[in-house]
Amino acid sequence: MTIVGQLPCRVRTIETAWIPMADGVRLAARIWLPEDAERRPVPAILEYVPYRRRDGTRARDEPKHGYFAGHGYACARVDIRGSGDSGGLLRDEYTRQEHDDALEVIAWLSREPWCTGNVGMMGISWGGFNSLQVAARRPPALKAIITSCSTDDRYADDVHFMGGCVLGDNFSWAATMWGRAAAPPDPDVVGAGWRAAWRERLANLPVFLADWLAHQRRDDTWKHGSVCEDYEAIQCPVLALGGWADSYTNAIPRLLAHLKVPRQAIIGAWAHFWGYEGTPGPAVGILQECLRWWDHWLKGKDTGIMNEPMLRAFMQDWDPPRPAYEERSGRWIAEPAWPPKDGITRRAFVLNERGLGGAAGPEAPLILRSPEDTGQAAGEWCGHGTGTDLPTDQRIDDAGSLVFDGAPLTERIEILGQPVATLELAADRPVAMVAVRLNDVAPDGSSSRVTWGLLNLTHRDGHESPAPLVPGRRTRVRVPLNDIAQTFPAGHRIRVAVSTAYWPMAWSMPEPVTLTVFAGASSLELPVRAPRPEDAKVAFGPPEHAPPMNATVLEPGRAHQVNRRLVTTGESEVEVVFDLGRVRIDDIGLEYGSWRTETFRIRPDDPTSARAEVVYRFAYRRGDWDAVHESRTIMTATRDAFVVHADLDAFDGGRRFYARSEERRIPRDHV
Amino acid sequence: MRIVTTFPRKVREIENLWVPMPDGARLAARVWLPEDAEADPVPVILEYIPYRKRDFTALRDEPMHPYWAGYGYATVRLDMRGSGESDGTMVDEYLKQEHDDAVDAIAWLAAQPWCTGAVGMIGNSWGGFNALQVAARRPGALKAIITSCSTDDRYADDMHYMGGCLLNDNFDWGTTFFGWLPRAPDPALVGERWRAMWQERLDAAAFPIEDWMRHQRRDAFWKHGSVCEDYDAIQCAVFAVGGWLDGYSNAIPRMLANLKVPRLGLIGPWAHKFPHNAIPGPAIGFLQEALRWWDYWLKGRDTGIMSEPMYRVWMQEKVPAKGFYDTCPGRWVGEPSWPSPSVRTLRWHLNEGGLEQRPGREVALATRSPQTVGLAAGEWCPYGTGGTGPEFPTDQREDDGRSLVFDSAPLPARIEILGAPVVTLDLAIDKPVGFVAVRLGDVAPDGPTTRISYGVLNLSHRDGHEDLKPMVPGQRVTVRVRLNDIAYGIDAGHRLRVALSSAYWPMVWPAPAPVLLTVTAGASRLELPERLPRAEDAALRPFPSVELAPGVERETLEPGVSRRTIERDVLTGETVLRVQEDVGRYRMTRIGLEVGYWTGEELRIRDDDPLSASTAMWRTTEYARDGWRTRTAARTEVRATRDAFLLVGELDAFDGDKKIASKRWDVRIPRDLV
Repeated sequence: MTIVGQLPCRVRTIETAWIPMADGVRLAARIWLPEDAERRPVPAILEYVPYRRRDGTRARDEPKHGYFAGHGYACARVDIRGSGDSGGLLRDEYTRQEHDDALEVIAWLSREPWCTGNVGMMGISWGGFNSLQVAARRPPALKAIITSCSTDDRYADDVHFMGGCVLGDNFSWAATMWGRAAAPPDPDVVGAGWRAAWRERLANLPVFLADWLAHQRRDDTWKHGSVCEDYEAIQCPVLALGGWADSYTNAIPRLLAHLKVPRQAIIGAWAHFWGYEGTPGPAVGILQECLRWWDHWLKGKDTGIMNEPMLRAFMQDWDPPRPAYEERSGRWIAEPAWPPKDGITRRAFVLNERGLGGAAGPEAPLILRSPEDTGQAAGEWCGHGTGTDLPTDQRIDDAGSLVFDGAPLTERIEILGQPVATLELAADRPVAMVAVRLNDVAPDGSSSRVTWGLLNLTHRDGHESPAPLVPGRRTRVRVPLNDIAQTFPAGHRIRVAVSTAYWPMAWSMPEPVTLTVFAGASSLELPVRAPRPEDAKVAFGPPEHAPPMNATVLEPGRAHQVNRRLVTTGESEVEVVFDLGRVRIDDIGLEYGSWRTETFRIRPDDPTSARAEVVYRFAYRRGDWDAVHESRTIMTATRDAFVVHADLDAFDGGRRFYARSEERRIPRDHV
Repeated sequence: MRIVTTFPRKVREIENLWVPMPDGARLAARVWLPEDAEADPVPVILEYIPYRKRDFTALRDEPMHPYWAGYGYATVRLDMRGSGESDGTMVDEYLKQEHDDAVDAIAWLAAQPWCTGAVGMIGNSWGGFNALQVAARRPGALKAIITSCSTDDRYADDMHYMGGCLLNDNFDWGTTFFGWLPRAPDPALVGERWRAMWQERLDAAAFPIEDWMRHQRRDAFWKHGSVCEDYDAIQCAVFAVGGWLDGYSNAIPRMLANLKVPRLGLIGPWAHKFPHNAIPGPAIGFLQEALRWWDYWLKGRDTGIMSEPMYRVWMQEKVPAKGFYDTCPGRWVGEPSWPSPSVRTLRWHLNEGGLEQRPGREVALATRSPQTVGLAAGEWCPYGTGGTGPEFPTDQREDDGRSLVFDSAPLPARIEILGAPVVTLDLAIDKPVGFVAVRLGDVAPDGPTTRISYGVLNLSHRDGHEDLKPMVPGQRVTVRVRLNDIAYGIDAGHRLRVALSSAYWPMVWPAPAPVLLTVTAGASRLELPERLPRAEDAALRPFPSVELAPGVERETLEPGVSRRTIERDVLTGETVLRVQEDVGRYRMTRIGLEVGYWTGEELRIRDDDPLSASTAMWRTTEYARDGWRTRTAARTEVRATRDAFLLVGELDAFDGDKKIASKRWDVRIPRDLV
C-alpha cells in the first residue's frame, strides 16, 4: 500500500463546520480542502453518514478525504441529524428527513465560496445507500456519485432480510445501532449543552430492532429508499463499487442493467471495504479510479475513465476454505456492457439422487430436516474484516444438508453472474425456508462455498404477499444465489447443498420442518463465462491513500469468533467478540473505546430455542469529561412472535446518568 | 426399582477385616455375612479392586454386597495391596503380585469358619479383568466368576489401544489411576500409621502412562493378564456381562466362542456399569440374576440359570443419535450357542454410488480428514455419568459430512444384525503412518444418523498387532477392519451408511502428519452379520426388575458439576474440548468421612495440524475428618512431535496446608508407527 504524503495541493481541515438546516437544526461537518480553495474554488465531495466524524469514522475518513482534497476537492464528512455533534434526532435509516437534509447540505456546499458549485457524493454502506437515494432526488448541484457496498433494494439485499428470511444481521446491526446511536455529542464542540442533548438522544432513541421487525415483508417501509422502484429517477452518473466477499454485490449488476445514466462498476474480492484496503486483497488503486471519475464528472477533464469497460470484476480462483485471506487468487476480467451481449451461457445441471448430473435421473423424494445449528461455517453475512468473516470448510454444514455432488470436472469452469437453483419440494409445515449453497469440493474433500442463497418458501411467489405452504403439497421454487465470479478448477467437484436451516445467518423457522426435495426434478443453472480478450487489459494502479489518523493505542483491540457446543445442554453457541479497545485521537485529545460481544445460541432440535444477545459498551474521555454507555439487546422468539429486549445504560463521570429498558413483542409474519 | 431391607438371613457387617498375606502384609476387606454364618457357613463372593472400599466404592458396594449376604453369602470387598487401608504399594494394573495376593486371599477366605470353602469372584471393569485373570490361575476354592465390562485381551480391547491406535482413554484413565494410587488411608482404621503408609505410597508413586506408552504394539507386556493367550487355563464357570455402549463388549462373544467351561454372556444397551445400575435403561434385576448363578455354582442348587441361552443380548433399535438417553429401545434375544447358526453374512459393496449389492466400477475416492472428525464419537467408554455429562455418540452427520460416505438406498425391509460387522477396504495413504476410522451408521429418513458400530485400524498393524509394517505411500493395500460387536435392528426406510475418515479425535491420537486417504470404491466391501429372527426369543424368561439393598447415607457439602463444551476458535482454527466432572464434596454420615473429588480435562487440536494436539487432565481428591485433611492432586499433559510423545505427570500431596510431596515426570517416548 502506498501512503501518499505529498499531494498536488496542500490541504487544510475545518474540524467542525456548521451547516444550518431550514428548521434551525445545525449539522456538523468536517471539511478537508485545498488551502487556496477560496481563491481557486474546487468541486465538493460529500460523505453523509451517522457514524460520528470526530471519532467513529475518523480513521477511515482521513486516508480517503485527505487524498481527494490533496487532488483539488473540498471533502465534507457530514454527520446525519441526531448523530455525532449534529442537532436533532436520528429516527431511522434513510428517512425522508435524512434525504431532505442532504439536499440542503448539497445546496449549502455548492454555494460556499470555496466551491465551484459542482458536488459529488460518495460513501460506503450507509453513505453508498444515500448517495443513490439522494441522487434519485436530483439536487441540481449533484453531478455524479460513487456508491460502494450499497443496495438499490432495501428488502432483497440489505442487512434485514434475504430471500424473505430474517437475517441474524438484522439483529446484529440493530443492536449495533442501539449502541452507536446512543453516543453523546462532544462538549468540546457543542459546549455545556452536551448533557441535555445526550439525554434527549437517549430518551428518543428508537428500538430499531423492533421497528424493523414490524415489517417482515416487502412493504412501503422497504420500498422507501429502494432506488430500484424507479431507476430512472437517477439522472447523474453512477460508479458502483463492491466486492464478492461483501453482501451488497448483487445490487451492482442490477444497477448496471437498469440505470440509463453513464455508469461503471468495479467488483473486487474484498468484503465491506474500499478496494484500496482490500481485505481480502488483491487491493487496488481504487482512489485513483475514483479521482478519474471525479475529474471527469466534476471538473470536466477527460481522464479516459469512460473508456473503461462497464464492469471490471475479479474472477476468483479456488482457494482452500479459510476464515480470512490476505489475498484471493484470481485475475481481473472485463465486461464492456452488462448484461453482456455474449460470452455467458447458462448451463443446467440436474440434482439427481446420485448427485449432480447433466441429464435428469429417476425422480426420487429425498427427505431433510437439518439440525437447527446448520450454518456455522457460513462466516458473516457481511464481512467487516474481523478475521473470521469468510465461510470456512463447508463440510460441517454439508453434513446437515442434502448434498448433490457432480463428477470431478474434466475441465475448468468459470462463472460470472447469478446461479439459480430450481427446487421441487414439499414441506410438512406452512412456514419453511431453504438455504442453497454452491460449493467447490477439492480433491482432498474440503468444501469451499462459492455462493449461496436463501428463500423463505412462503415468499416463493414474491416478497410482498407471502403465502403459507400447504403441508405435503409439491411446489416448484426458484432460489437465486448471490452473484459471483469464480473458477471451478478441473478435478474439483461442484456441490449443491440444501438445508432447512442456516443459523445464525437466518433466524430459525417457527417449527421444525421436514422437507422433501424431489431429486431428478430439481436443477441448478450456472452462468458459465468464456474468457474475453479484453480481460487482459484490465489494470489498476497500486493502492494509494492519504496519511492515516494520528492516534495512540491505549488498549489493543481484540476480535474472535468461537463456535461452542455446550454438550451438556445440547446447545450450540456462536460468540463473536469485536473490541476496538481504547485509543487516543491525538488531534482532538479524545480517548475513545468500544467493546462488543455478540452471542447466538440454539438447540439443534428446537428452532424456538434461538436466542441472540449483544452487549456493546462505549467510553469517551477527555480531561474530566467521562461518558460511558452500554447497550444490551436480546432477541428470542416463540412460535408466534419475536421478542425483543433492549436496555440502555449511560454513565456520566462514573455515575448512572440514564437507564432505559424496552420490551417488544412482534407477531411473526410467515417467517 | 425396589430397595430390599428384609432378607432370608440377617446380615452383619465387618467394617474392616484384615486378610493376611504370606509376606506379612495385610489387605483390608469389608465383609457382609449372615449373622449365623459361623453356625451355618456360606460361600464367599469376592470383589477385589483398588478403588477404596471405605469411601469411593462404598456407594455402589452397599446396595450390592449386603443383598447377596442376605441370601446366604459372605461378600468380601477387598482392597488391593497399596490401596485403601491395605498395606504396601501399587505401581500398575494386573501385576503378578496382584494375582498372587488374590490366590492367597481366596485360600484364606475359604478357610474361614463362616465359609463353606466355595468362593466366587465378581467385578466390573478392573474387578472383572482380574476375576478372569485369577480364574486362569485356578485357585482351588474358586468355583465360578462373574466378569462385567472386562476384557480377555489387554491390547485389542482395553482403554489403551484400539486397532493399534492410541486411545485418549489411555490418558484419561491413566490420569485417574495416577491420581488415585497415592491416596491416604483412613486413620480411623489404621491409626497413627496412616501418615507413614501414605508417605510410603507417595515415595513409590508411579506414572503408569509412561509404561503403557513404552509398549505401543502387542508385546509381552500386554499379553500378561490377557486370558485370550490361553483360554483353556480358565477352568471355572464364567458369566460375562457388558453393555453395547461400553468399551469392552467385544470380549464377551469372544470368550463365549473360545472358553470351554460352562459360560453365559449377557449384553444390554449399557455403559460401563453393572446391569442393576445400568445407564441407559432398561436396567435389570441383576442381583437376582447373579444370585441364580451363585446358587447354582457355589451352592449346587439348580436355579435354571444354565438352561438360559448362552448369549442373551439387547437387540437395539431406533437408538437416538444423542449424547444421552434414559432408555434404549429394543428387546432381549437369545442365542443357545455362540457363534450362532442363525447369523449369516450379508455383503454390501462400497461403490461410487453408495452401498450396493453388486460391486461397481473401480473409482478412487479421497479425503484428507480435518483433525476434528470424531467430535460426534462420544466416549470410547462411557461411564454412565448420566444426563449431565453426555458421553454417547451424537448425531453422526457432523463427522460424516467430513468423511467419505457410502449410503445404501432406503432399506426395503428391516435388518437385524448380531456380531461384528467387517469392512474390507482397498486403500492407499500418502504417508507411511496413518489410520482409518470406519463407522457404520443408521441414517433416519429425515437425516439424523446413529452410529451402529465402529472400528479403527492403524494401517501399520494391517497384518497384526505384533509385527508392524509402515505403509508405502501411494501403494494400494487391502485391509480388513473389524467393527465392534453389536446387536442392532435397522428399520425399513432407513439407510445404512459406511463413513471413513483418517482422523477420529479426540478418541484416537492423530497420526503424525495429515493423511490423505484414498479408497477404491468398487473394490471395497461391508459384511454384516445378519441375525435371522428366532421364535424362541418370545419365550425368553424376562429379567426381574431391579432390587437393591439400601445405599450409603451421605450429605452433600458441595454439589457436583458436570460440564462439557466444544469450542472452535474460528480465527485460529483451534478446537478445544473441555470436560469438567466434579463429584464435589460430601460427608459419609456413618463414618464421618468427608470426600471431595474434582476432575477436568482440556483437549486441543487444529484441523490442519495433528501435531497441534494436546491434552491436559487433572484429578484432585480430598479426604477430611475433624482436623484431619489430606489432598492428592494429579495432572498430566500429552503432546507429540512427528517422532515422539511428550508426557508430563505432576503429583502433589498435602497434609492439611503443608505440601508433603511434589513429583514430576517429563518423558519423551518415541512413536512406534502410531
